[in-house]
Amino acid sequence: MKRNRDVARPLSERMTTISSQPDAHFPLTQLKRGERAQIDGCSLDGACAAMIESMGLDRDAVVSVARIGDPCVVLVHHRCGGSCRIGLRKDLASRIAVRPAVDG
Amino acid sequence: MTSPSTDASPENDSVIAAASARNRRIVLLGNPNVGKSTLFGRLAGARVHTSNFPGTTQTATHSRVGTTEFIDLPGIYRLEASLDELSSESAVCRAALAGRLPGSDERAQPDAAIVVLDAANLSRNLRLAGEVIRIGLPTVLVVNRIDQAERRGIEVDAEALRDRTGCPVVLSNGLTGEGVERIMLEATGVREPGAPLHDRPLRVWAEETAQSCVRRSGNRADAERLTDRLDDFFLHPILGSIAFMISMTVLFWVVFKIAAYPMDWIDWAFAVLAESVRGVLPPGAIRSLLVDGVIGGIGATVVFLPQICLMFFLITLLEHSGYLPRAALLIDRLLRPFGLPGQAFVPLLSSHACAIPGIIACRGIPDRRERLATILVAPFMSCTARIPVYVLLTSLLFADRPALAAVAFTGCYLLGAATALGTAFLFRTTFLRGSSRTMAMELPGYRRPSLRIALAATRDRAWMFIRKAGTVILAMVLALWWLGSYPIAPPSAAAEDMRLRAQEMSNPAQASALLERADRIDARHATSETFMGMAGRAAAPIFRPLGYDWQLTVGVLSSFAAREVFVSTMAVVTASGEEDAAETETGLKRLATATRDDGQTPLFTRPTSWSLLVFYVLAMQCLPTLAVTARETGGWRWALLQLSYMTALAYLGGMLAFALTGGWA
Repeated sequence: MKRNRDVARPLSERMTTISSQPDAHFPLTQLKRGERAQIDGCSLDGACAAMIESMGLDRDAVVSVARIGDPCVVLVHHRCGGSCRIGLRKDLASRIAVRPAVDG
Repeated sequence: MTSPSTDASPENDSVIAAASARNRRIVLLGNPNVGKSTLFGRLAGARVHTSNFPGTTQTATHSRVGTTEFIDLPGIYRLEASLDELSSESAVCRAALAGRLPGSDERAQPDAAIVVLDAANLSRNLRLAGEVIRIGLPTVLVVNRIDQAERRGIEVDAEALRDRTGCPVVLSNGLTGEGVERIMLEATGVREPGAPLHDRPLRVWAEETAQSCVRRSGNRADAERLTDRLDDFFLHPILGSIAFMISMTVLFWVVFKIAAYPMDWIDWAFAVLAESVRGVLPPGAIRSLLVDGVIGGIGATVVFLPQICLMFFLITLLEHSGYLPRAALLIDRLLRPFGLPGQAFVPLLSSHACAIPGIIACRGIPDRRERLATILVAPFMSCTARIPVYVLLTSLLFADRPALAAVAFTGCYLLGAATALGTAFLFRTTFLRGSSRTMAMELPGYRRPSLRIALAATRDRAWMFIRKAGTVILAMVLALWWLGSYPIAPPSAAAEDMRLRAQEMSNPAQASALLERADRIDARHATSETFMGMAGRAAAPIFRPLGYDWQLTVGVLSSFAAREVFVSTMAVVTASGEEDAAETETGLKRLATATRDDGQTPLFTRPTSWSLLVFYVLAMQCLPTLAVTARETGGWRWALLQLSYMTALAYLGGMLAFALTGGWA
C-alpha cells in the first residue's frame, strides 16, 4: 500500500481509508512520530521475520516511531515499563504492519 | 520457589566441595549490547584467550579463575534454530550449551550459565533466560546496567525475580564493578536449575516475569528525548553523513599519521638493537640468523602494534559511546549494493592504513558470510606498506611530471578500493551467497565512553595479536630469511680484485669508494646465488608476460612476505658497482638506468612499470595479513583462497597493464 502522504491525518481516519474492518493494518512507516501502535505482522521471509521478532518486534508488541525516514528508529515498549530502541532500514520497516494500539 | 544457592546444609557443603575438586565450566550468555563482555572482563581479569568455534568465524573468550573456567559466548537474542540462516551465533551457543565447547576436545556440558540481562529491557532479555532455564542448566540471572535503568525510572526487584525464576539474581553495574563479587559467588555455588516454565509460551512467561519484578518510578521522558535528538542528528542523511565523515577522518588520520611516530621509534629501536648485536658477534651464520632473522622478524611483528592499539582504542570508544551502531546503520545504504553491511565500513577504511587491524575489526560484523567477504577483500585497500612501491614506480613513470605522478598515485588507491567492492559483490553472489542479514540494529543509549574499558580492549587485542599472529609471522620471516640468505656465495672475483686494488691506493677516499662498490657487487652476486635468486631465475618465464626479467622476479618473490621489501631488494639486485658512491638520489637514478642482462634494455620500461604498479595494487604480498586472516577465519582455507585469488588477479591485472601500455608490441 502506498499511503505515505497520509501521515498528517489522525490515525483512526487513516485506518478507515485502508479498510472498514476494525483490525485494519498499515505499514510501520506511516506512523507519526511518537504515536503508539501494535505490530500486526510482517511480510518478510522466515529468517528475517524470526530475526526482527527475536529483537522484540513480534506480534502485538507496542511500538512507536522515534525517527521517521531512512533509517528509521522504532521504540518497542514493554508492559513492564522497559523499552528498547531499534534502528531499521526503511524498506524493512515498510514491510512491518501495525494497527492502532489497544492499550497504548 | 527455592533459591538453591543459599542452602548451606552439611550435605550440600560436601557436594560443593566434591564438585569444586574438578573444574567448573560456566558460560556467559546474553543479548547483544547488554554489557556482557565488560562484565566478563571484570570476572575474568587480564588473562583471557579466545578460540574459534570450528568452521566458523565466531569466537568464544575463555578465562580460568582458580578452578573455574568462564566462557564468554557471542551475544544472541534467542537460542532457537529459526535464526540460524541469518546468524551463526545462536547455533554456536546451542552447541556450547550441549557440551561442544570451542577449544576443548572433550564433550563437556557447562556446569552453569550466567545470563546477563539489561535492566531497562527486561521482558525481551528474559526470553533468552527462559530458554536457558528450559534446558535445565543451573542459571544465575545478572541484571546489568541498573544505573542506566534507574535514570530512566526503572527499578528491578531482585528478590521478586529470584522468587519467580528460582534462579539466584544479582544486580550489577559492569562499569563500576558493582555486583561482580556476588556474580562470582553465585556462579560457583549454583547447583540447581531454575523453576520450570511448564508449557507457558516464552514470551508470555518473560512478560509476566518482567511485570512482577519491575518497579517504575519517576519520569523517563527526558533521557529518551535526548536520545531522540541525538539520533535525529546522527542518522540524518546530510548532517549524519558529515558527522560520520569527520569521525572517520579523525580515526583514519590517527591510525595513518599518529601511529607513524611510534612505528618509527620501533623501527629505530630494532635497528639499534640489530646494529649492536652485529657489533658484538663475529660475521657468520649465527649473526645473520640473529640480526636478519630473529630481530628482523620480531621487529616486523611488533611494528604493527601502534596501529592495532590506536585503532582499537578509538573503535572501542566510539562503540561504547553508542555512536558506532548508528554509523553502521547510516552507511549501510552505501555498502549494501556490494553485498556488504554498514559495519564493514570501519574495517575497510582502516585497511587503508593497514589490513591487519582492519581484518581484526571485522569481528564487529555479525553475519558470518558478510564478515568473511569483508575479511577477504580488505587487503585490496592500499595500505601504508604499498606507499614506497607506489612512490618508486610513479616517479619512474613520471620522472619530470609530478602532477601526473600524483594522479597515478591516487589512481592506485581508487583501483584498490574498486577491486575490493567488486570482489565483495562477486563473492557475495557466488560462494558467499546468502540473504543479507536484515539491517535492523538495536541502538543502545548514548553514554560517556569509558577510558578504562577502551584501554582493556586495546590491551586484549594487542596481546592476542602478539600471541596468535606474532608467532606465525616470526616463523615465516625466519623461513624467508633462510631462503634469501642461503646458500652463501663466495665473494666474486671482480669484487676481490677491487678490494686488492683498494688496499694499494694511497687516497683513502678513493679506496673506501672502491670498497663500497666491491660490497655492492658482492651483495648483488650473493642475492642472485641464494635459493630466492634461483627461484627468481626459475620463475622468470612465468612473469615474462608481465614484462619482468629475473631481477624483477626476485624482487616480486622476496617481497612476498612484505611488499615494501621490493624497493630494498631492487636496490640490492640492481647494484652494478659502476657508478660513484651513493648519494641520496642515486638510488632512484640507478633503478631508472638499470638494465637487463643484455646490458641494453632498461629494467623498468614504461609497460613494465605500469604492470608492476597494477600488480602491487592487487597482490597480497603480505604474510602477516595472511596469518591474521587464517587466525580470524579459524583456519588456513580462507587465507589460501585470499592469497590465490589476489595473486591471480594481480597477475592478470599486471599482464593487462603491460599489454595495454604497449609491452607486447
